[in-house]
Amino acid sequence: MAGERIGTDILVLGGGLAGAFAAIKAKEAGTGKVTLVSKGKLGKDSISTFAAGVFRGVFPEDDRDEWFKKLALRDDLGAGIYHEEWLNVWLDESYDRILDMEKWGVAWEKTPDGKFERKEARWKLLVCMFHGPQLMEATAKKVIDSGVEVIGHTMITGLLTEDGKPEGGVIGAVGFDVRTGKFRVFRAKATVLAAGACGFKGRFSGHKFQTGDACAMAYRAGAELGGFEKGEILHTTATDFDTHGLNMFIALGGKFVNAKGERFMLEYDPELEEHATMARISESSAMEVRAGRGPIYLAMTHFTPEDVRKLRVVLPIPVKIMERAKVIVGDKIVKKMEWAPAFYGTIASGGGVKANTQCETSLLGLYACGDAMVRYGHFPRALQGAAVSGARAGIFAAEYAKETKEPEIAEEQVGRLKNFAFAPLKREDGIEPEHVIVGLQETLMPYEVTVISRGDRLEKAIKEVERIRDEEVPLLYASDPHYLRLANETRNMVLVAEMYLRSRLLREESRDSCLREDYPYTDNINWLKWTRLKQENGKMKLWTEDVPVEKYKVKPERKKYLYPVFEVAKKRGVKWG
Amino acid sequence: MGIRKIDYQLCNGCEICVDNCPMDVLRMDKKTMKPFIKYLRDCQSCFLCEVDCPVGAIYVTPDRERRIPLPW
Repeated sequence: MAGERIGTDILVLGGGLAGAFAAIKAKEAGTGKVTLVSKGKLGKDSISTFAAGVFRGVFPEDDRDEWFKKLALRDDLGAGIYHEEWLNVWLDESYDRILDMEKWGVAWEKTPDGKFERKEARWKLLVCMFHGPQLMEATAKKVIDSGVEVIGHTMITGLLTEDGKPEGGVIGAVGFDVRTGKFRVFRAKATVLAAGACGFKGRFSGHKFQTGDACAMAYRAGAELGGFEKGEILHTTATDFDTHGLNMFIALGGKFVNAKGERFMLEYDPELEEHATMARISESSAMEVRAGRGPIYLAMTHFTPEDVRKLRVVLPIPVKIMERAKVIVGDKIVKKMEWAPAFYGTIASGGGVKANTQCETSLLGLYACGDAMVRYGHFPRALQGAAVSGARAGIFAAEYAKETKEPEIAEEQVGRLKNFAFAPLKREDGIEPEHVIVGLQETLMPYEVTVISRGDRLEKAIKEVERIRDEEVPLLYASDPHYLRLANETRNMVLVAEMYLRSRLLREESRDSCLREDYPYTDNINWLKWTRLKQENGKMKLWTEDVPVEKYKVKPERKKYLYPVFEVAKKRGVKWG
Repeated sequence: MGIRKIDYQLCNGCEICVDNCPMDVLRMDKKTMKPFIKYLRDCQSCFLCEVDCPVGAIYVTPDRERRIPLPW
């Protein structure tokens, strides 16, 4: 069971902002060797590479209590389902992470007197702005300059545990080079998961390599996960091409209109209007389409040349895409874009591996941060959450590694995990991953499954995912290492799809990003709960855990009320039930 | 559609596009030491190869290579 053997103290899986922060902070803690593994080239293969130019942080001059209140109880941010300890950590540490990045050479938009320029974006919260991919370029350079061993173009497929036992302490991982097919075995005292997001290769720019790899391997190792029904599942994009940057488009005054030219968000979210959450925008758009007032457009034709210049600096790639799609000509936006939910999966917010504020998971030696960590649908989330949780994962994993002996790998487990990863390449014939991916998307993406859901439709979707899992996944075929990566990615996505749909079915109420026509009320009497799941006897076991709101300083009111989008839809003559 | 053109007159064989592609679409021709498009269907039109090319040899279209279902 040869393969290349790599021993290290701290193994970081994933090279986005969370993984980079973990590696840098672990190295700064002086633990010894830190190894970072990424599926592509470090700095170019992460969601953070395509992050849409804005970063939320709480500045020293801000009213911290005001931020806390705003983020804890909003009905479009969990309606009281929040994690008090994590929210405090994020409020206290986000500014320091901005300063860290500035030291590394990340460029921020500044005012003429040298202060951070801040604008109101989603939730009308202030954001600062960076220059698109430059953020990860500077961060990747810092990782390398810190002396972290970086191993790229390697897909991790499984976690190694003590004595090869399920739910044992984690002592490393295995994977393969996606270009040469070379098998790699990593032995580590502590392992940090930072490659957890699953975008289901959906309609969004630059996110098609995010296939829930860390969540899938943690699940198979017996870790507890959760929160898959919530999050930013309903991000939105153009229908004709992939783009991103909506936070910025809205910050500069972009407006949503239906086919009749009505700015429907004024009714669906009178407070935030277009600054509403992605979920609210998707849900409202879906209601309009159901009432025959589709399609939906994003209008930015009123932008000034100065607005377009700002877009060009902060969002260089989306501007290039929109120029080529003939939406931007010179310094003008010349036409409105048709816009729709993109099915964003667990990117930025939502499901992941359960972790406390020291990023410890339910398995000893295993840490989770960024999108690999459950994010409860609110803060910390997305890029700003990745920075804060990534730094913590690195610091606490380093502490653990200092007190831990060299682990011993169970060769039998290495063999088993190798066979599992390479099975599609060993088959003489079988199904190409593309077929399975399209089938999965056709099952997940209809708005009546994900945007405005109902129990019977979810059950039907679960049956179809089970069929794909049992009939098609065992036949996945790869002709070379590239397709072996795709086959493994596909298998992971099928697993995460099951996590998503089952969690969604479990939550019998309507709360931001998980609407149920059959349970249209936000139920703070019975449903201030987190969903959890894990593998038990080969099956996915789900349960709920009460949010300890009674212990919280800022408590949500115990009441039940019609979810606002259903209420507005009714007034606008949309049928649901 | 995705990535549509690598201009071999302009390409200097620096390999940046091959290394950077997060979808592993490109490979290097060992004889000519120039990149070629090997797995077009996996191209996600993210434009990284085009914006990172130091000599402007790459042309990408925003049209999706994969058929992705619409929500409605």
